[in-house]
Amino acid sequence: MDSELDLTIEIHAALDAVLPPAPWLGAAVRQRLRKDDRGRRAGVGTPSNRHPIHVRMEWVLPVVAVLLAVAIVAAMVASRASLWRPVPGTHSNAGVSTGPPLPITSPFADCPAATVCGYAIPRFTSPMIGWVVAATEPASAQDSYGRFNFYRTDDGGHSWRAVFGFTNGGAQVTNPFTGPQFDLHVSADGKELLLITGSGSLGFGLFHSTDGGAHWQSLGLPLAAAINVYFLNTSEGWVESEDQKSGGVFDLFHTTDSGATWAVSGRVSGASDLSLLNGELIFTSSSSGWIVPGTSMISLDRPIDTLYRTVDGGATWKVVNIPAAVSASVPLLITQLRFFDEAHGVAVLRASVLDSSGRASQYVSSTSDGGLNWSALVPMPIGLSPGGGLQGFNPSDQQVQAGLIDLIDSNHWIFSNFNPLFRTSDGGSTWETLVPVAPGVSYADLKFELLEFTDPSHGVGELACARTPFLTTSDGGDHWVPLDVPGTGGGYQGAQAGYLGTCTPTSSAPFGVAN
Amino acid sequence: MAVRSVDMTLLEAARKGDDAAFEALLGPLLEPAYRLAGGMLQDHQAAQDAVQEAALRAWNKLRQLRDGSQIRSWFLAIVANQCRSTRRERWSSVIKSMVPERSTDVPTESIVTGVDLRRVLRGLDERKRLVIVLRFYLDLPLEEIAAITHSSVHAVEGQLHRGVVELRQRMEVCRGQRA
Repeated sequence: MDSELDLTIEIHAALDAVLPPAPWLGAAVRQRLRKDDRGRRAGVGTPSNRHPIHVRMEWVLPVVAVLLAVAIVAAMVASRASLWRPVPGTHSNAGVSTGPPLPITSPFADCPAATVCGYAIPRFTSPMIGWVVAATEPASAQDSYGRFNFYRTDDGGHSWRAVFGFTNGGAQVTNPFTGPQFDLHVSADGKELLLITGSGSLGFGLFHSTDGGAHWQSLGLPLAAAINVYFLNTSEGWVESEDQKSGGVFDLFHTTDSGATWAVSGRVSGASDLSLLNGELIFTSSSSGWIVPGTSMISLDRPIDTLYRTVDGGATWKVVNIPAAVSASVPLLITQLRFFDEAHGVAVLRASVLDSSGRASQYVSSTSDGGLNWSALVPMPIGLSPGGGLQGFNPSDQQVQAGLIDLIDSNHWIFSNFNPLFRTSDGGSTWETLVPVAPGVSYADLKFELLEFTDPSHGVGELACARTPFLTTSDGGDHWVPLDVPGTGGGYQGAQAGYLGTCTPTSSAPFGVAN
Repeated sequence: MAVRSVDMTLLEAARKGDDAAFEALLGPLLEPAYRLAGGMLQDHQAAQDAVQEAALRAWNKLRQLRDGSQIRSWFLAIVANQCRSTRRERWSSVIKSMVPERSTDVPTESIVTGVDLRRVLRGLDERKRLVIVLRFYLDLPLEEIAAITHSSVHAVEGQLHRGVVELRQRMEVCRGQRA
């Protein structure tokens, strides 16, 4: 490999060997576009009808864009202007949503069946208080230019009030539904909120409110090349940004004022270890943090039980292994790391190869001293089946594929792959098998693609392939009742495709669960 | 100029919602897109998925394309971004990474080199791998690589140089371990 020509020849040979010709790719792309076409024709829009001004008055666009940019910059300089504005009919009373209760209907009432129309993401911060971000027009569900409403409930989801709506206004806001990250932090008094959306490739959005969500400020990140964002609370957070000039080197930025200002807190030098680009950043306090490396580490034959740890706020990083994983008979991958405080944490690991039954074993290991020592591996009650093993739903999301494990606290966990549910209250020593019951939903249709508990009793689940996708429980998962969520009417995207996977409708039950 | 004229006509038609025009624009780009995605992901299934998703994303962003002559670099940039998103999907990448490389009864030096080269490429950081794949697998000029990566020609030269140096060093390590 002495010359560039040699390198070209060798790279061609090496990559051609794993890339068979794909003569059907054109047809596959056409099919993919056709599949999307029904949604576009139903209102999502073509590039032209979404933006008719572009076709008819192209010369105006640059002038308008310049004027708009000047106006936005001037306004932000003057007062860090809110790019998000309240929904008409709401007020800005701090911490109190005063808009009229909303009817629980889809904004896409005329959305034809089997058409992609809407999305919604609920987050509960307590059994009674929850929030929903929902697309308010069909285009929002697919376009990175979003129109979304933010709703709040104070009665466990029985009624919702619109707190604010983003109406585009000429500025781009990252679509919370197109990126893997959607985090909402709420202060104890409910007045301060911090919303993080997006992903490293699409760009992160960071939004801050100090009046219960009535007004928001769009805050920038320190570098456009941010690849990981983690906030400990509504004020303190970190951003990992790749140094564009030095491959494998990542700058860590720190804020204590909700992103208004940032300071460099350290560098993560990957050297030959480049998995940090895919890694996950977690902080358990102002000083203690972790990076869970991405899977490119596997391909480098690195130990897959490796974590990076800092105890000085990210200034220095040290490799930490989970010794329990070393003795496993097959290589294990850390799929989830969760700390409940600085001392107590749990790592979820699973086999990186499937067994003869097509499942991958999964284990947990715990620490009670901040990660210095880890417990022996505790097996999960059932192996994981990547395909889900359920007719009619093929998950695409990595977390769903890995089985849903909600680590509620250091002892209480709930796990699904995809039914039944398994529950432990002693940190995985013993597991209880649940046969969940939901009115109007058959056991076979309880295909959970999301489980989020606020305490061991109260939680929200999202079903794949269901017209009424959201359920709530108050007895730890034994019984579930429908949770009405704004934006999830008849045209809800989840019914057709599953938010985190693909549904296969059947003639008798098009989307699994009847309304 | 004739090609440019046709492209602009197709582009205008596609912007107005003409699916056939959009597909005609995209058709010639699918093969380099597939090669780019394949070089980045080293998995033909994932590469095809990435190209399909990129095509959908391109449709939704079509109005951002001002000049039809730059459609290839514009679309390849979208494909590169899609590959980055795809890499975050842990399960598939891990399962697939554990699939043994193709083997033959008598491994030849070229096969071994190919295996090593793919491993080393996978280990390069994303930007270096991207410019190397664009340069040495898609055989693109530096100017177009700069357009795809939204950087300058000078920066691309630097990234290529560092990438090739690192790639060669790692290949030497691989060969040393085998020996």
